Amino acid sequence: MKLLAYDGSFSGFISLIYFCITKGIKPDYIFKFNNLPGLPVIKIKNLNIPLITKYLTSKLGKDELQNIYYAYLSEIENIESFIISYIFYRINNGYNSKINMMFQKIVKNVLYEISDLSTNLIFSKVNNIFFAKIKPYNNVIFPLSNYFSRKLPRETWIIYDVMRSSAILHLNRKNLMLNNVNFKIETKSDSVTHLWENIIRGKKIS
Amino acid sequence: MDIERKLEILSSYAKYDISCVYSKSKNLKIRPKHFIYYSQSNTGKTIPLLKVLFSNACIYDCAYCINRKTNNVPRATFTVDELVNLTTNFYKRNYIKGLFLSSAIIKNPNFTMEQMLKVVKKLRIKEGFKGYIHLKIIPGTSEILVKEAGFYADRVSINVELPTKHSLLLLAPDKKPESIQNPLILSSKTYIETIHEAKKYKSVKIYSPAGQTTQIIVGATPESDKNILSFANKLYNQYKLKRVYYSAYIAINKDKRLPLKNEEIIREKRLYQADFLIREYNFTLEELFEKSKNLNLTLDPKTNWAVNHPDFFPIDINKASYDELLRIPGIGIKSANLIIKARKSSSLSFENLKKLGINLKKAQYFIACNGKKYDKNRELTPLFLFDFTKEVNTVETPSL
Ligand code: SF4
Repeated sequence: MKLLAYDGSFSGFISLIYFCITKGIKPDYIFKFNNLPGLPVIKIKNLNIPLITKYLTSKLGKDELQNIYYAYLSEIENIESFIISYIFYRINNGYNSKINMMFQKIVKNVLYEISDLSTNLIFSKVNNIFFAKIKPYNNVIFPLSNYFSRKLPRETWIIYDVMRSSAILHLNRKNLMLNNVNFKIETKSDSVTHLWENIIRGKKIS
Repeated sequence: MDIERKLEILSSYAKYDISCVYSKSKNLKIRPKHFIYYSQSNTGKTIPLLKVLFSNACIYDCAYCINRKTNNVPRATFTVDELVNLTTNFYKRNYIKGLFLSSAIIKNPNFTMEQMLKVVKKLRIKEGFKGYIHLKIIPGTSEILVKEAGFYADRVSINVELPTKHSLLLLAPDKKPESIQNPLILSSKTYIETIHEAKKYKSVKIYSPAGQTTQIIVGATPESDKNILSFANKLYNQYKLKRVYYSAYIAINKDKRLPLKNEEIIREKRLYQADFLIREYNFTLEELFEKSKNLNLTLDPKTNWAVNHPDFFPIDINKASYDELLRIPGIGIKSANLIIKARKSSSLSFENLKKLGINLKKAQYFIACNGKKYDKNRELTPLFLFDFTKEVNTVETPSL
């Protein structure tokens, strides 16, 4: 059994991918440092990320690397090992329709959730801060906050992921990650909500 | 008048303009209820937009329009600041991703366009609004304003409304044909020029980067589908329009010049299908109108063409070219590409097609796999057949 571990970040995972490709190792299970089993595991340290990214882009292409990131965000159990199996197929020009289809499905699900939330997430205004609570199935807070940094660069806003007790605070055009948070914010309806609900959502006009 | 009432009126009366609208509803009888419209961006993403008029107090009197001056309807006009605040507030809550702004003509075309441009400029410059903006160009607007509009909006559009000069003069006597044609020519030219220049110089801003669209009202005047589509072809080929929207006529006003009834919405659908076949599937106008000047309302235009060309079918899936595959009813661009990719590794059977997710419901009648036509009898029929009608018939009626 080949067991590997990394620090739990995507940079760490990229380093792990590089390690596996260069050593030709297909791990059976990949752990995070904060969740190690009582078994011998190979711990992978973070390497030179820009260099590895360049290497992986040349091997897989930019789009595929992006897809790997999205699949990673799915947080499916042992998704890391699955992604590495997929990468081996891709690198060796092999085609395994089952793995391929599964990979595409996972990526699609994550992308769908990002797109869905980017459209349907609603901010409430609380003390001049725009606040939104989400309960995503996948860990999509990062791509989502990137989207809103472009959409609302000047505003101060918080997106709070209830499922993971994490949040992103956008302040002075910068995004800050907040971990282990538990916001208990009461959102109230105001004149803008009223106009939206009554006029635009068509409650008043037929 | 308070902002709530203004919004109520100006979003309500904006719903008759369908340009840029992507209706999410598959049910043709349902028109969008809410005043949020789904526009399709360059990347194919649908974008919810707040769709409002700047004003509905029109000085013109187009026969088909709810806002014409002789109609007795509530009137309202936003101030620039009101509309800017409303848009930014909705946008910051993420209710909308952009604005679709049109207007009736107040005072004169230039005054109206100036007000609309003030809104758009204030949004972009002062508010740093990054959302999508679709801006209508008012017929008769001066060159300067037409030019300016496309550099602040993602998309500009000018409604041509009717496909012939005669119909336009009949139903919209205040709109001179040149008041539509001149801005259309100018915006098309500017769009094409800036696209060419942007290829040479990166700093060049593209005019109306999401392209231009227009709307044609269908069924208010007697033009045939062939007339309408050939007019649309001109708009696509010469004026480089991104999309022509067809809007089935709605009988809102009583007017001798107009039909009494709404146009059937299926006609609108057939026109979209035919428009799509010409633009994406290499069908020609002549092919779609070989037997009649109007489209068949019962069959979609592709199936209609196929049933009228039995000599062209069956098409062998393993040998057909990409263009031939596209002629098969039920097979679209995605399926044609899938077939071409999959048949590289092995020849395809009907089973393979099903596994690829190809919908055989329609296609089965027009295709063959390695010389064999689809044999429905080879499929297993249900073991037990329940014929309820028979059972009911055999029940004896109790004697009274
Ligand atoms: S100019 Fe526009 S708003 Fe005015 S009556 Fe004609 S179609 Fe209606």
